[in-house]
Parts: sequence; structure tokens; C-alpha cells
Amino acid sequence: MRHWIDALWPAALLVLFLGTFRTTERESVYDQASTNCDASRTSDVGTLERCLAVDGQNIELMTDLGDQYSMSGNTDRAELMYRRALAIDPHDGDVHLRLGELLLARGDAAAARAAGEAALASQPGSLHAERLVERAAAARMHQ
Amino acid sequence: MTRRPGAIALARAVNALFFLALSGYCFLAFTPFAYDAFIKPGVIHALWAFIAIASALYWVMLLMTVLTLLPQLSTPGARGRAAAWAYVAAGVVVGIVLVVRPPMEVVGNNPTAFALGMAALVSPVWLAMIDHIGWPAPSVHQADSSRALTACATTAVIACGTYALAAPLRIGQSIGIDLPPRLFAGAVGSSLILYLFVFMTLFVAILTLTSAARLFGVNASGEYRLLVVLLAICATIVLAGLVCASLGLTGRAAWACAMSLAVAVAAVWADLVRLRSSQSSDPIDSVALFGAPAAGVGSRAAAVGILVALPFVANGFVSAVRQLDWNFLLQKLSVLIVWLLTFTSVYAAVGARRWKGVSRIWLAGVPVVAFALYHLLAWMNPSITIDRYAAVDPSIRLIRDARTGQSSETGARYAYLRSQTLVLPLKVQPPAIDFVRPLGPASGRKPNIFLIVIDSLRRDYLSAYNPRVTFTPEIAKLAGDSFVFERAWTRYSGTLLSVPAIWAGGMVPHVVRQPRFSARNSLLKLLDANDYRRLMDTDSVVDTFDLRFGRFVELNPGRELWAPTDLCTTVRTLEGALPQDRARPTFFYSLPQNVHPTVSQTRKVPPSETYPPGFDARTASSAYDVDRCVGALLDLLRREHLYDDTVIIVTSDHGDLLGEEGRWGHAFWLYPEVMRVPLIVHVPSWLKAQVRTDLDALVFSTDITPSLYALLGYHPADLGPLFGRSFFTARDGDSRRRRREVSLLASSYGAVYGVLGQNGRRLYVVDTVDATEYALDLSGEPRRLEVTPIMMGANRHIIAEQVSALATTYHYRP
Repeated sequence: MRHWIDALWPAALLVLFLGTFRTTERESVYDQASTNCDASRTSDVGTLERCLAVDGQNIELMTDLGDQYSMSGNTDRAELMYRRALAIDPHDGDVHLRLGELLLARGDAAAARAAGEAALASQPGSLHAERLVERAAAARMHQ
Repeated sequence: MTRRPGAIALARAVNALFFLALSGYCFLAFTPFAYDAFIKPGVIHALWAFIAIASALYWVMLLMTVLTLLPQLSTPGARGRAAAWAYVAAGVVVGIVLVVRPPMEVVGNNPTAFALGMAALVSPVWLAMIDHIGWPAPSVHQADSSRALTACATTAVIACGTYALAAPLRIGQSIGIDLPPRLFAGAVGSSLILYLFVFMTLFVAILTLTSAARLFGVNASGEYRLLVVLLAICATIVLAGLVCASLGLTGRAAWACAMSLAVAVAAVWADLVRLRSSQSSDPIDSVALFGAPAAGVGSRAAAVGILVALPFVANGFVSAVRQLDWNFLLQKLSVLIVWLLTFTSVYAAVGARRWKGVSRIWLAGVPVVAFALYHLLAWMNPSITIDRYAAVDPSIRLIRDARTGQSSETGARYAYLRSQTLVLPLKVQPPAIDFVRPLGPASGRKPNIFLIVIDSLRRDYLSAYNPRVTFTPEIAKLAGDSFVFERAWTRYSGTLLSVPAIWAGGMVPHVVRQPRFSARNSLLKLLDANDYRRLMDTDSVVDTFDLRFGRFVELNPGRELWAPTDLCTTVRTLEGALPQDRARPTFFYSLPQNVHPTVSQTRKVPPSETYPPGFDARTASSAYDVDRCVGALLDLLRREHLYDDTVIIVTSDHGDLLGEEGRWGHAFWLYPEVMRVPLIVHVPSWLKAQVRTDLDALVFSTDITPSLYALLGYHPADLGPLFGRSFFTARDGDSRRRRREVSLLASSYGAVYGVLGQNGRRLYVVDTVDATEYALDLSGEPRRLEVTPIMMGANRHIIAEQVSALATTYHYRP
């Protein structure tokens, strides 16, 4: 019996050592609902804001939120979103264009023109950007 | 005749090293991935040199072995005489065969390589058998458990210190490792606990083995033989799980190779034990006998000498190989050898003194304390500290990677990804891929196309992407006159797949050699339809593209397989090859290796060159060198009045890691330093006015081919997310999709996949080789993100979806 005990306790200890050496990661969770945070799939401001709270660097969420706020007339909030996006990526031509349009609609032609030129720098040949610059220049002439 | 066992042991060790290396080379050649990635392109010159002189080395080994066997061969009735003569006779026959058919001619990526790999292991095993017959067995007594406990605990401390000593030095040599003194102390403390756990596991394993031997009445010699078997088992696991997995050899072939090599290693070890212990008349402890090849059995001085020398040798080796190591493979293997040598030396140095009164309480108590400390550490989970420290201590990297386990769900997902990776070409039936069907000649003016894919060039080593760079003025001048894409990525981290992907204009089947590539070679179809002259460097990748027809001029004919392509040489050849008849457009292609790590890391930086801090001087000097060559090419184009009639594309197939977090090279890694590439596109002024693009949107090198279609006036079809799309667009707003979609990335060499989203600002990677997953925020400097279960689930789902789509596209069934 003693021989068996002498042989078994090291074996038990070995099983314990080998069995607990590896660490296993947490199980992954595939939650279909979580993909709603993909900005292209939702236009609900509440959802977008919640997603942005989780993923604070997501420019696409900011852009979509800016669009939603702009459409609902909350231009201050829209501008804030666009500027927040540009703080992360100052070369995002799409956001510059949106901001430019917003500023032009508000009557800030100089800032709109600057935004249009910034858009043109990263999107050479963009007709949209060229037209924004032209319209901003024309608006400035009228002011 | 006097027999000198020490000298014979040395000869056996040298002979074994030769045959193990020969066998390893054959197994490497047998592995399709390793053959195409390392051997065929001649990336590692030493491999070629070794196999080229293998026949001559064989004869040297045989001669040396015959000298060691002379006493047996010449003494009638000597033990093992018949086996020795048989060995010599067989050796001479094999030697003659090797002279007639050198291994270099025979060993390719074929089953012969596997058979030769197995055959090469016969020699060391046979010699071990001869020595076991011819040399007397030593007298053995059972292992002392208390000595084993002391040796294991001491080994943990010494081995931990061996690597910790050099860690501060390595922190200074690495980039991006922030380990202030307090964190460093915590890391060393954590590593000591990990070491204690590992070596207490070894102690418990020895104890289990010796206890079981005693229970079943196995004598001390049997105990020693069980230790040799344990060595063979451990070596098999290491070779299959670490070496074969890293080199893309999996399945039964991997286990067969690993087991054969491990048995040969164990046989050689046992042979050395027999020779080193032959002159000892005193009984030897079974574990001390097992350690005889390293420390001998006679004196502690040798053991102490080894322990003193080991830190220098171990860290010197790590420093020597770290820049050219493959996924830390050599470093990890060296750690295991250092552990084995440290343990055997410590065991010998501890000596045979018995600790009277050492009870089972102690024998169990010390491992239990190590066990408790380990789990306390696991509970505290200082993963950031350990990750940072692992970057400078290869032994902790080994332990950390070995600790990484998998749930059954993860195992199933990884198994699926592996089944889709490095598949056999026969299992893929790729259809034809066409961006334009039917493809006739373009109607408008056709620019010349110059495509320069600089192997391994990082974007931050070009001034167009990094204002701190002052050493690439020629490419800077080109960039000033070109479109510079800020967010250009490659889909693949290695040349083997990234170059075919550029030519195909999309992701390709994950195979080593692309089957039926002509039907998918969209770039070649475009050139052919428009009657382009093709002036090209060839290399081991484009050589498989079936390009040698029509108006094809090879700029480097008869190149040596291991000779890297130098862009300056190519430009000089091009100067004489440029046709005077300019009616037909010209296509130029080169994949220069001026910056490839195998070239750049052996470059001697001239004393006249200095580079800003933070740059690897040899890589920067290589970038400066290739910049000069690009300048020469641009000058040539200007002189020939071709510059403003040519689309010039400068890009790279992938980047490289230059010491970031201790990593060098590209291997399996999908880090941004590897996956981001420069992409500079010069478009002739007459064409520039017609195009629009978004320089800030995510683009891939797979977009180059469809973009060339667009520049020639075609409307390339959108073939889906796995294929390229022109970055020159017809309408505004086309780039919006680019900014929002998620894209699949892959390693060229193993089952490592990534998802790139948020316009290239978010990267998630599933690495099944190292069994790890990581997420990076790339809004600014790359920053690791915590991998949450939801993030993991969503990204794994996207990867599986896109990998399945790739399999469907190419009609692949595992």
C-alpha cells in the first residue's frame, strides 16, 4: 500500500501541474445585435450615440451621427461630430465635405471654402469638392 | 589500441549534427511552404551552401567515424565488430551514391526528400547501437529525489537569471518596449514564478517516473532508460508543436518527421551518455547519468564551467539570430537546449550528498508552494508586464506561448482556418477571373506602365510618409508629382501570396504555388490585350506565372537562385533593353530585394552615412540605396522622354518589423509595420486630369491591377470584397464604401488572418500558429485594445465568412 501511495501522489501532482498550466481565453460571443454598431446599418441617433460611447474613436459613427444631427437641424451637434472626426483623421475628405456644406448653409463661406479645399487635397479631382469651393467663393463675393 | 571515449563522443556529436541537419534540410524541402518560402528563392544562403557540400561533408563524417571505430574493426572478436563493419560497408556504398547523385540534385519538394530525411537518421541511430554493444554499461543506482528537488529549484533560479541578465541590454536595443525599473522588477519576479512552476513540473515528472519504476520493480538502469524515453517524447512534442507548426508542416507527415528526429536525438543522447560514462567505475545516479553528455560524471568543475559559460552563449546566440529568426523558432529551441544543459549541469554540480531527513512533506511541499505562487500570479494576471518582458526574454516568450490554451470552440475555429491555409494546389479548381469580359484592346492612348514592388520596404522609411526621413530624396521627388495613398495596405504579409495577389487584382487561393494562374492573371491579360512589351525581372514567384511568351524580355536572365535582385543592376540592363520603337507601350516590372532583411541586415553602413535616431541604420541605408536606383530609373525615363508618358507605381509587397516589441522580419505577423505599404502612383499629366481618387481612403495593393484597367479606359467589374477595385473612380463618393467595409488580411505562411475595418484604423488578428488574438487601434500610434468576447466573436465571424467566400470562389474543398 505504501509503495502505491509513494507512486501515486507524484503522479497526481503531475496531473495537477500539467492540467492547470494552460490558460484558456474567455469564450467568444457572437452577438448579431452588436453589429448594429456598424455605422452603415443604423440611422437611429440613440443607437449611434451608445455605440460611440463604446467605440469613441470610430469616425464612421461620428460622421453618421453628424449627418443625423444635420438632417434634424441640430447643426451645432453635427458640427461637433464632424470636428471630432477630423481631430482623429484630419485628411478625411468626406467629413471635410460634410462640414463644408454645413458651414456654407450656416453662411460661413470662408470656413466652408477652407473645408472644400481640404477635401480637394485628399480627394483630387472631386467634383463635389470643386463645386463646394466654387459655391463658397461665390457666397463670399455676395457677402 | 587505446580508445578515447571523450574524443569519440565529440566525433559522434559532430556526426549526429551533420546527419540531423541533413535530415532537417530534407524535411524542410519536403514541406511545400518551407521549400517555396526558404529553399527555392534562396532566402537562406547557408541552406544552399550546406546541401551543395553535403556529399563532401558526408565523406568527412564517414572517415571520422571509421577512425573512431578502428579498435572494433581491427580486433577480431571485439563486441559490435560485425555491426561496425556493416556500418562502414553501407556507408561507403551510400557515399558513392551521393557522389554520383548529389543531394542537391535529388532533394526537392517531393516524396524522395521525405525518404532521404528518414534515411539520414539511420546513421546516428546505428552508431548509437554499435557503441551500446561495444562499450560497457555503467553501474547505476536509483535517483535521489531530494537531489532532483534541489537541482530543479536551483535550475529555475539560474535559468531565469541567465536571460534576465541580458534583458536590460535588449530593452535598449528594441523599439516600443516600455519597462521602467518597477515594472521590470515585477516582470523578473513573475518570470521567476513561471520558471519555478516549469521546473517543479519537471521535478514532479522525474519523481513520478522514478516512483513508478520502483513500484513496478524496474531497476536503476531501467529508470535511466525511462528518462531517455521521456526525452524522446518531449522532443517529439516540441518538434511537432513548435518546429513543424511554424514551418507549415502538419498532420501525419509532421508527426512522422518529429518522431523520427526525436528518436534520433534520444539515440544520440544515449550514445553520448554511454561514451561519457564509460570510464566511471562508481555507481552513478540515474538522473546524473542522463545528464552525462553535458556535465560528464567525473567532476563538478565541468558542470560549474558550463553554468558560468551558458549565460554568455545563450544570450549571444539570441542576439545573433534574432533579426533573421522565423517566428522566434531558433530562439525558443535554444531556450529549451539551455534549460536541458542548465538542469543537467546543476544536477551534476549539486553532487551526490544526501539530505538526510528530507521527507515527503518537503518533496511535496516545495512543488505545492510553486503551484500556489503560479496560480496567484495567474489570478493577478499581469499580462501586460509579462507581454512586455517576453519581448526581451525569449524564455518567457516560450513559457507564455506554451501557456496559451484553447477552448473547444476556439480549437474548432482554428482547425477550420488551418484547413483553409496552405492547401494542396490539387484541391483548388480556380475559375478564370476577369475584370472586363470580353477584353479587347483599349481605345485610347496607352501609357507605359512601370511597376516597382520593393520587397519588404516599410512606408515609414520613405519621406513621402514620414517627415523625419531625409534619406529617400528621389522617391520624395516622385511623390511630389504623384498620388500618395495614405492608407495603402497589402492583403498578405509575405511575398509568396502578396505578389500573385497584385497581379491577380484580388485575394488568391492560399496555396504555395498558384494553380492555373494564367486564367486569373488579370494584369497579364490587360498587358496582352493591349500589346504591351514586357521588360521584367523574374524571381521565384513570377517565374511560376507563365510569362515567357510574346513580347517578353527578361532583364535578369540566368540569375543565380540565391542572388537577390538589385534595382540598380536592373536599371542598367533596362537602359540597353528599352526599345527605340515607341509605337507599342512598355510594361516594366521588378521586385528588388535591396531592402529585404536577408540583404539589408548584412549590409555594412558606410561611415559617411548617418541616420536619425529611431531608424534601423542598415534598413535606412538599404532604403537610401534603393532610392538611388529609383532615381536612376526616373532619370532614364526623363532622358528617353518617357516620364510623362508613363504610369509609375512604387509600392512594396509587405513591410517588415525592425525590433518593435522584439520582433524582426515578417513571418506570420499581421502587425501594421508589416501590412501597411507605400503606394505612390505617378500618372502622366494628360491622364491625370481625367481621374479622381481619395488619397485618405483605405486601398490595397490588390487595387493596382483594376486601377490600371481604369486608367486605360476600361470599367473594371466589382468582383466583391475579396477583389481589388480601382482607386481611380468615375464618380464622387465611391470611396465611401472603402472607408466602411471590413477587409480580410492573411499571412502568406500560416493560418493567421486579420480583419481591417474603420478605414484602416482598426485591426483584429486571429493567429492560430501562436494561438493568440489581438486587436489594435491605429488611429494614431498603434495601440493594443482589450479583446472582449463580443469583439472576438464578431471578428471571428467575419474572418470565417470571408475565408469561406474565398474557398467558394476558388472551388476549394478541404
